[in-house]
Amino acid sequence: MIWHVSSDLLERYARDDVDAPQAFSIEAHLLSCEPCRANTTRLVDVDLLERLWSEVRSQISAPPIGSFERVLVRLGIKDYTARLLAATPSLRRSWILAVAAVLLLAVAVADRVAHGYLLFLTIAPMLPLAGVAAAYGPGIDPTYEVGIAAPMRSFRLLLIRTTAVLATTVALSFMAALLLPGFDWKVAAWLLPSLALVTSSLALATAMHPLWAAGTVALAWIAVTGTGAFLALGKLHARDIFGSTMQIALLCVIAAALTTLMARRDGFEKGDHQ
Amino acid sequence: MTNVLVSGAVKRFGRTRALDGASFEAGPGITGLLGPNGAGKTTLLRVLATVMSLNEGEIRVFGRDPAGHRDRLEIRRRLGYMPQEPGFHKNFTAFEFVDYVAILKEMTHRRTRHDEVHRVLVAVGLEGAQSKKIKALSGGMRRRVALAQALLGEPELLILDEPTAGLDPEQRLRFRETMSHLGADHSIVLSTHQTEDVAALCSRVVVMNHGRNLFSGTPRDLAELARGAVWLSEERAHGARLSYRTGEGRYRNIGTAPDGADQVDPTVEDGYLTLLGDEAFVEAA
Repeated sequence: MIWHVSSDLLERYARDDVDAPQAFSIEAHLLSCEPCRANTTRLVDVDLLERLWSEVRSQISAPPIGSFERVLVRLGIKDYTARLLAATPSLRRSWILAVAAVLLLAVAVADRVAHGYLLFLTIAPMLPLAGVAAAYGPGIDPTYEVGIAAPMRSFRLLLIRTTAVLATTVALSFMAALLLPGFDWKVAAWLLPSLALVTSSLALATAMHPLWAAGTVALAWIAVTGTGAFLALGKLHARDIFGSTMQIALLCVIAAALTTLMARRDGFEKGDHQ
Repeated sequence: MTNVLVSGAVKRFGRTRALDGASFEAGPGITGLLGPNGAGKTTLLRVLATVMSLNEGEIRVFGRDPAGHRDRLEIRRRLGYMPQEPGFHKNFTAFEFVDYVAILKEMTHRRTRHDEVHRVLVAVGLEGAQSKKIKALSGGMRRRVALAQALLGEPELLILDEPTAGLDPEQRLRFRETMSHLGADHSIVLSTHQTEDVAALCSRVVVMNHGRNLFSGTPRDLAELARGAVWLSEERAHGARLSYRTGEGRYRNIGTAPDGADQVDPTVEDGYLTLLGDEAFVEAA
């Protein structure tokens, strides 16, 4: 006598309402029993089947993601944000290694030459500035033209990449600062300058090419620190230049830059700086 | 129905006027843009794709003005754009690159997005190369990747800047097949140097030069501009504006009829060369 799966059991199987051993048993039977397969076909929810098939197809057709994206996803970042970040020029391994090398050099110099601290505190804020300038824009991102014609706001993409670049570079700068001889407040003295330079550069980039904006801000920063060093000649100390007066002034710069950036952010959507 | 309307368009780059009063219309079907290098085709397509704004003139896409933030966003949601020199993140695979653009096109749901990426890669015949790095693909395959990203989301308006450049004959035929299918219910504006593409695909053609449009009509109308001026002869016609030896050994002449010549039906290319006048003949020579 030929055994068949009962209608009740088949219905439960189609609803995914059976335990694993029962499911294995039914599936083994279905492989060799055409009438039961026909009965199962009638019971299966077509929409559910389509969703499952779509998921299988999606898994098969999508190549495995790269190691950088995999790390980001494990850190809790959405898969689509991870892909946007994977395309960021200044998050490439070569860029990050270059930043680390510059910082290590600056730390080494800080310990060996006169006014080395000042040199470190001048250079460290310019690294996030360079990273952000190289994160997105015409002539920087090879897919800029395609991206600007797409509905996702360029400003949003810029902010996502800026945040990632800032987080990476600031973390590296912080670790480098810890290597400076004599652990004191100077470890964090470059942080506000970093933010001020980046926000000023972004605000300027609403009206000019991002690389020109970054270059202008970098020159202004060198002029400010150079002037400070000149004025403090003879009694030069990093505290004289990076003290509370400058930190408060930098907070004002950040506030003004953020206000300008938010007011003029539509400039990033027009693509006219190509 | 007119999906794209441009009138009196002026775009300046320093002292150069890339567009100098160009006017343009496109509705459903395929509209081809023809013109020599520097005619303003790419600038016009960039303006249509909302990646560049005009200095003067008026533009409407789907009846909306891209100068306004909301209108611009709405236009971008309904268009696909393939630039003349599409850039790539070369460490991405073909799938990853198209997936990246899909994200820029607001497709954040992973499964739906991957289905769409798979669909467009199949549409351009790249399903077998989707796992290859962009840097390992040939120039023709890269152009197909660029075309695939433009097809994402089945846009109502496709703007393609020289989509057939670098494609081999088989790939070009496949492209024509894809376009003719899409052109049935989409608006497609493409620029090309290939008059054969225009003849084979386009319901309308616009010829541009020096930032202005010289002609607008059907490919047949363009060909008709050379009616009565195209001849086949056994000898080179020295009085003709252009004379070249065909593969069959006879000379095809545009202009004055040589002795014993047979008048032949003009092609789109003949009409285009006639329209551009001496400038085209200098370039062709």
